[in-house]
Amino acid sequence: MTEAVLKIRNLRVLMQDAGRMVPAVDGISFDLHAGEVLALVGESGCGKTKTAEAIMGLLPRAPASLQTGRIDLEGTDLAVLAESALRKIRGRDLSMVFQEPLTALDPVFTAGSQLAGVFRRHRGSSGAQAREQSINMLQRVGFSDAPRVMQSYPHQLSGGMRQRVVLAMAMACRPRVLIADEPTTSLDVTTQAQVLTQLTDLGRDSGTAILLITHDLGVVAQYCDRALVMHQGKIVEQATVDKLFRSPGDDYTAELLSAVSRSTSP
Amino acid sequence: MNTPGQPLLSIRDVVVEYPAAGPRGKAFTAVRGVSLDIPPAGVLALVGESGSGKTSLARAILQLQPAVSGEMLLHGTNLAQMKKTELRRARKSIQAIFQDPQASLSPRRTIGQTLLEPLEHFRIGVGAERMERADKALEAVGLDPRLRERYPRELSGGQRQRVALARALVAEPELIIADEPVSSLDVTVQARIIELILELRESLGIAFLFVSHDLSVVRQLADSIAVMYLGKLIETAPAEQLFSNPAHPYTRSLLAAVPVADPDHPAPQVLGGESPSALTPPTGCVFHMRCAEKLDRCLAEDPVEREVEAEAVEHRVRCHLWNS
Amino acid sequence: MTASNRIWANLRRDRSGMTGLVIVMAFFLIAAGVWLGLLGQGWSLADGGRWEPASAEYWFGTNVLGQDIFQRAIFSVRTAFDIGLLVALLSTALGAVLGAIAGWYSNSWIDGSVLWLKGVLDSIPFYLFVAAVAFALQGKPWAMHVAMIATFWTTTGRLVRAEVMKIKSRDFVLSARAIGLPDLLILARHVLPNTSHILLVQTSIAFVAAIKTEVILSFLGLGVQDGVSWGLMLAESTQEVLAGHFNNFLSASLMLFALLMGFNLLADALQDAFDPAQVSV
Repeated sequence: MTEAVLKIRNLRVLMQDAGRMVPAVDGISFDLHAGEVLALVGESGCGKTKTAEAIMGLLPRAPASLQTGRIDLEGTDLAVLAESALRKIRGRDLSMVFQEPLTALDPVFTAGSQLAGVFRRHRGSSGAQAREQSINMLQRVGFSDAPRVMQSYPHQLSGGMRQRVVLAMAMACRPRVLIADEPTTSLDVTTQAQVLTQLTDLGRDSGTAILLITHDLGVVAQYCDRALVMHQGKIVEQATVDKLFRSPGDDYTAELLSAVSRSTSP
Repeated sequence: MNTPGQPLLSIRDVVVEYPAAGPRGKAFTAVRGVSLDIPPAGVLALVGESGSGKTSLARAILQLQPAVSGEMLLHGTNLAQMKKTELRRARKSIQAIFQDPQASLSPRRTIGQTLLEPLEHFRIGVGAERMERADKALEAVGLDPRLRERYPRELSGGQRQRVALARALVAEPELIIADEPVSSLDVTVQARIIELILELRESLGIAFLFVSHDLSVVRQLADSIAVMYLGKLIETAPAEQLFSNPAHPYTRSLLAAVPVADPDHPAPQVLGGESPSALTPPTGCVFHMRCAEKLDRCLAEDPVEREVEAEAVEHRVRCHLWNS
Repeated sequence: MTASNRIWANLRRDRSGMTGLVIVMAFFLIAAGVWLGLLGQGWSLADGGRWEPASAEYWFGTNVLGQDIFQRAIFSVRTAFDIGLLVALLSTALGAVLGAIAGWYSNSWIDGSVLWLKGVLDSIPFYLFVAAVAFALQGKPWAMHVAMIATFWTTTGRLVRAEVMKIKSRDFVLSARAIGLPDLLILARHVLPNTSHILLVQTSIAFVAAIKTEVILSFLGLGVQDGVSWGLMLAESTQEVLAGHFNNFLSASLMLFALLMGFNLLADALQDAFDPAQVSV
């Protein structure tokens, strides 16, 4: 097994709710390896999004939230880094794709300028270089008319297209880790197939470790190598996808699987 | 009343258009001539992706969005031509539940007030009897009648959708139009709501028009399925036939794109091309730009709807591959 | 937790907000005292000496006519609340109704007319408008109130219109339309109650604006005609200050400042307490 790129140890996140601190993530530990697609699956409220926000350093500042535990990215503990240091890492080594394509892109800039901006900021590319790299990246996420997409504003693109632009921006610097939080939940199923296929292909090409957060067990089965099942802030099962579906170890996992299998059997 | 064999709701060549926004905008045709029948106590699923027009069609049936042309017949009478009292009775017969559990119930009104509203509006029952009906509806959807005093924010998404169902039931409808009612719910909660719908159909004989983009949900409840793409109905079939013998290339792509929760199952296939803009629909067949099996005819001519096989009259498809 | 519980919990935790609330309540009690005839009744008695300094009998001293400045300042609290409450409540109500109708029928001639009216009223210089209204009403004491209500509603109207445009596409509104409820009933029962966060904040802002406006109007002679207000006291005090007598000026300004400060703190805290991120619908 390749070396773990991201090591989470005993992560705990407490959120403020009407004066009390409530645990959203209750002591979880896992490893993420280069080139693998790890699913973080669970129902709403299980803590999967808070986990992603903790890793990216996007939780609201204390006292609205409190976080303990280690987030080790190739030797650096992200949990103790100052915001300025984190900003350098974000976008370059650690990227995130969010659920809502409508709000992920800035509406007043073209897709091209936003994508080129990533190259200029993190790779130091000049304007012309950034433009060329952007067009390349857009082609890699499956756009047949990349120059046109470069010039388009977000509102001129469909949800699936926006999500692919966001994916291009996230993968532009071949990050070590990409966190995708329900990236296709609001997309049509045919678009979902497109986006997820591109996501996992790109990941394998550049050796990026992908943490794919989803509630859809079908997505887990078809696109992921390993899976973590979360329930009420804890990880109840960690296994390869094969093992998870064939012989789930935990009752909650079995319950999830049976609800899904009822929907696919005639 | 119903003559035997007459559909409960019959939709003929309905066209729904949204007027141009502003002086330079174009009128946008969401539904381009769709015809459907819903039998009494039948469950018809209307399936399609964004831009297919399925939600616009559902809204047109509910008279929330005017249909530009075509007819919608309830028990044989045209909804658009009904007078006020007839329309009120029709509205009572056709109830709706919508998608968003966050906003499906009025936030500042208690569950009880929400359930009483249709009873008062349709003048069903009197006084205390109305409360009893509300309680019975809550029980029918598996909720404790004491929830009447609560506000929507105190209930979970699944509970709110059950209340929405109870509100629909309280009016004693013949048809419930459900627009993506389970899409925002967790899969375990989804399963229970689907069971509930099937029970209600069994015990109360209510027909359902179930609008959804999720084929695996639809499979559990539909008698027949109608697939829409860019405003046109491209295939209709009894549910099992659609899954075992899909005729239209789009239906096949749709089925192939669904990720199955079984790692041994073949990987989802990607449908090429970009999803089309509904504002500028292609000429000829609506699907030709993304179709792997297109013929020359497809670019110029809009196919006519035909049966897939001469004997299987209920399986119809709109595709040149079946038009030879 | 219900919405109002959560809002109250948020408010309680906001110290400046609670301070504001306490100040406003204190002033309200004073105003109530005047209404009930318990306080400030001697505001017009001219039985003191001219410009007497603060003493046990005249807590803030007397003005040029020998009237008790303290009594006048206290009475003015009631005047402030009279104007503030009337203008705030009526202008917010008018804004809510017109805004809701404009928002519901957005992009139609109804919306167009309301927006046109708003545009016209917003473009007229306010004090000219008040003078014109005062003239037209031939000096009736409520000319000032009418003028303020007629112009203050526009902000509330604009905010409510925008909010209604968002609310009307929510599923619970669609459900109400689907069963065939009449539009106005839907607006009253389902839509307007969900703009209450806007209305509450706007009411407190309008209250403050009304009081400040009255001060200026009274200064210009267009304001309060019978009774006394801080504005009138300030108007009187301009000459007195030149002669070295500050009591009138100080009492009126300090009390005005205290009430407005309290209200501003409260309005800010209310806005935070209603923050949709915490009290979302």
